[in-house]
Amino acid sequence: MPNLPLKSPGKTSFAKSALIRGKGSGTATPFGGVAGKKGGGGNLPAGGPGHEGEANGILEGISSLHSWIKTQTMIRPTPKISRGKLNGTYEEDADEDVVITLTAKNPQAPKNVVRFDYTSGEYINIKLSETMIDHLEIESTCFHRDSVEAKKQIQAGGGAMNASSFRHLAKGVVKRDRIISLINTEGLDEDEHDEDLDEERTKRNQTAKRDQVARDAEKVKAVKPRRRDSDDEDGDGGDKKLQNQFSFVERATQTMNNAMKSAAIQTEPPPRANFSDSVNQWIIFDAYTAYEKQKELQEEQEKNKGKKEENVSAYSIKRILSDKKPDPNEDLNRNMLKAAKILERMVNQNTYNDIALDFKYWEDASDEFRETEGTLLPLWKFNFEKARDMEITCLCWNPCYTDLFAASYGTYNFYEQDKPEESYVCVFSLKNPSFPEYLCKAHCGVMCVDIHPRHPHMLAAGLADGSVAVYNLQVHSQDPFYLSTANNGKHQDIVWQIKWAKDNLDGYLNFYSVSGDGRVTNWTIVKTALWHTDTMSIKFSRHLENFSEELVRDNLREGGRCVNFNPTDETMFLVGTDEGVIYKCTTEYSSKYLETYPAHNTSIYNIAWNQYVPSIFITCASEWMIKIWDHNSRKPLFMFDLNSQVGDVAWAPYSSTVFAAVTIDGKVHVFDLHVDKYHPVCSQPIIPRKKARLNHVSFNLHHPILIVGDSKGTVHCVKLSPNLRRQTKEVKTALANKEPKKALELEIKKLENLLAMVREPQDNKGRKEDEP
Amino acid sequence: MASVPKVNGEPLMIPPNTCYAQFLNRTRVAPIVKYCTLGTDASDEALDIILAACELLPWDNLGISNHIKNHLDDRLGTPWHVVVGESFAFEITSEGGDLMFVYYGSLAIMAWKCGHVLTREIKTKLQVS
Repeated sequence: MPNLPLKSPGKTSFAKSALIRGKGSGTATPFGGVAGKKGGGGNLPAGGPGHEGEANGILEGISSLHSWIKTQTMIRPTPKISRGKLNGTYEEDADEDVVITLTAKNPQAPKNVVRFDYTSGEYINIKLSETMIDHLEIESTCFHRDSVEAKKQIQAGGGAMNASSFRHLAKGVVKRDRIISLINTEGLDEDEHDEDLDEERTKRNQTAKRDQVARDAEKVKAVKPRRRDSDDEDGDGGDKKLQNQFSFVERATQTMNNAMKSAAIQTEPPPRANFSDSVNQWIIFDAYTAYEKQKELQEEQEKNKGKKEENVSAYSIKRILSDKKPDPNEDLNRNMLKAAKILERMVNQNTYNDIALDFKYWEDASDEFRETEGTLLPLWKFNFEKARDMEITCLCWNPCYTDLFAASYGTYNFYEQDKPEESYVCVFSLKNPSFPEYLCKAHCGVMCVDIHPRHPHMLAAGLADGSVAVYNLQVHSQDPFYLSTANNGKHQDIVWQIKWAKDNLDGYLNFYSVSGDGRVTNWTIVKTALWHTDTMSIKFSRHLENFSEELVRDNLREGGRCVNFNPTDETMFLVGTDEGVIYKCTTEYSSKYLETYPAHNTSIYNIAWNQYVPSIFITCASEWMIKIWDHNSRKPLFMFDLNSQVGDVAWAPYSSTVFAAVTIDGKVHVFDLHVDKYHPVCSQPIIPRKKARLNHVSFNLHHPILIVGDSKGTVHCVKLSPNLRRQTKEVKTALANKEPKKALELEIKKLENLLAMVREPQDNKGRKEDEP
Repeated sequence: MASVPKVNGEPLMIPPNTCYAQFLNRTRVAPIVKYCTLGTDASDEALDIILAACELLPWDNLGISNHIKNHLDDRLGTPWHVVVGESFAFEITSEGGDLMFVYYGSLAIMAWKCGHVLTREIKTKLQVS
């Protein structure tokens, strides 16, 4: 139900409101409606069944005014009740307009409040002042400037809007709220609110805006007389805040920082090239020489182009002749080897420097204090690595080169004859004690070696398996030049000694070998082959007990141990056997002996002819004896007992009366018959007894040194002290006068004198011829 | 090294302390180009410059190198580095690999180009900014 009057462009609202005034208090209806007397006013429809008559009239009024409003005709009962009753008739009041008003009075407020007043002693009606209801409440943020709060705010420095600013506002749209609030502060009732509003509205509608504004402004002016002074001013003006020098206003702003972004770039480096070199004067010189050479070549080529045709034939011939190009490496190798050899010699000399000096210059000064005795100075020691386990089986000096000697390696151990699978003949030089100059390989132990007196590169060796080998040192090969085979007359037993003979009639080289199978064989080297001829076979000499047959005895042979040719007589030679018997034989007769000498009881180790007096020879055997013989006599001239097993014996080349012997206990005995017939002039141990046995000895033909071979494969070189080399005054003078023949004669004479003393008278000669 | 000493107005001919120097310088053989990575035209030019310098200033290695360097800069672009001597060793880095190594008499002349890329960059930057 609309409580407010309907807004219509007509005049009805005005009329209605007047009506409301007129009959305000008369009817106290809960609703408070407005009743319009004349049908023309916008009368509100009455509510409630009590006001039937009025309602009908209202309804009609409305429907007549607003044709679009469809109303329901209410059918009211027509009761015939008096006006005093509630349910009575309403006929009387049918035309009476019911006025509905909106008041602020609280209808439920008690109207008849009484209070007992003690003074008068009666109940008095009290009129409550607060019987109002708030119909409308609008909160506002404005309050009057004269109010307490406003004053407080102004003092605090808020500043109020003065008239000028208000005017500014008023020029624009005037807002209803502001006006309302302004008016509100004057203490108007709210029920008059609407009236005022209407007035304003109508005023506004009727009058110009400015008037209204002016009136408002005046109202404002009236309220605030204080403000007149500052009304004319523009701008803020008004109440300024009091400030001193300490008060400041701080303002700060921050600009916007842009986002950061990094970007990088690297350029490509330019291409670079490195170059390094060095330059010297010699480099420049070499470059120039090469350049000049090239230039010459070019020039030659140009020349040759012109003369090409002429020289073709000659050039081609030259080429053919010199077709064989020597291997450039060969020269190089040879030079290299030569240089290496020299270097080796140098190193050896440096290493064994003192020994070399001793060899050359040292003379035992103590010999002056000794009458006859001499000493042996040990010099070098020669050994060969690969033949370390083997014994020295033979020593032989090279007749042409005085510093070369040959040593053969083998073993005397009967059970180990097949052990050494490879054996050597080493040719050592005194200049190089550490390694042999030449090496000759053999397939088994070598038992003897000999160097040809006139061809110092030919080396003959007898092997333990009975074969004979000839080595040629000129050929750079370790294998034998010739080797005897089983078909070719190889011995059946160890070849004990081998000796070169003079070239035979046809000019071929030949040599003799004697072996344990009892044959003395002559071998001839015919171009590429080795021929043999049995010179003789040693017949068995002993008496066999149970064998009486001659046949068997004839076929048996004795083993030969050594052979030696007479230096003057080529045909005569001596053979020593295992039985200890020496036979003098000749090459012309193979079966017959010229002489037999019952020399020793054990096998003969060596026979040596005296170089000065060729009728004298010396023998040694494993029994402790050395015997000197004259080949005409069957009895020895001298006998020496050395108290130890004798290994070898040799005559000295510089004296007819000096010889040396080696024994198993490591001693070397040197005898000089001229000085002492019975005792050795020197008896010196070379190596300790237990270490090795001395096997062989040999004098050097030019130097006063001895080489001694032992059972450990080492060759010891020993220098003879002056006493051992003593020569008679006459010999010395003869040599000083450069008369070698005379010296020789003197030597011979010396020995002859000696022998004359020893020799038996002539009657011994007869006895010799009897025995076979 | 000071400037060439003069005796009566003419430069003093002091031969350097080397064995073959005198021999070689007297004979004045042609230059031997040991190593060259320039093109034929450029190398011919360079060789001419080198010969001219050596003929002009004998025994004055500093002067020779100075002369060669300036002329090479003029003709073949900056910057060139020149080493002149009788006995030296070197290890250089050359941009673009422009090298020239020449024997002349007893002298050895080594010239190479390095640093022209950087200078080019500097030039362009200056132009831009």
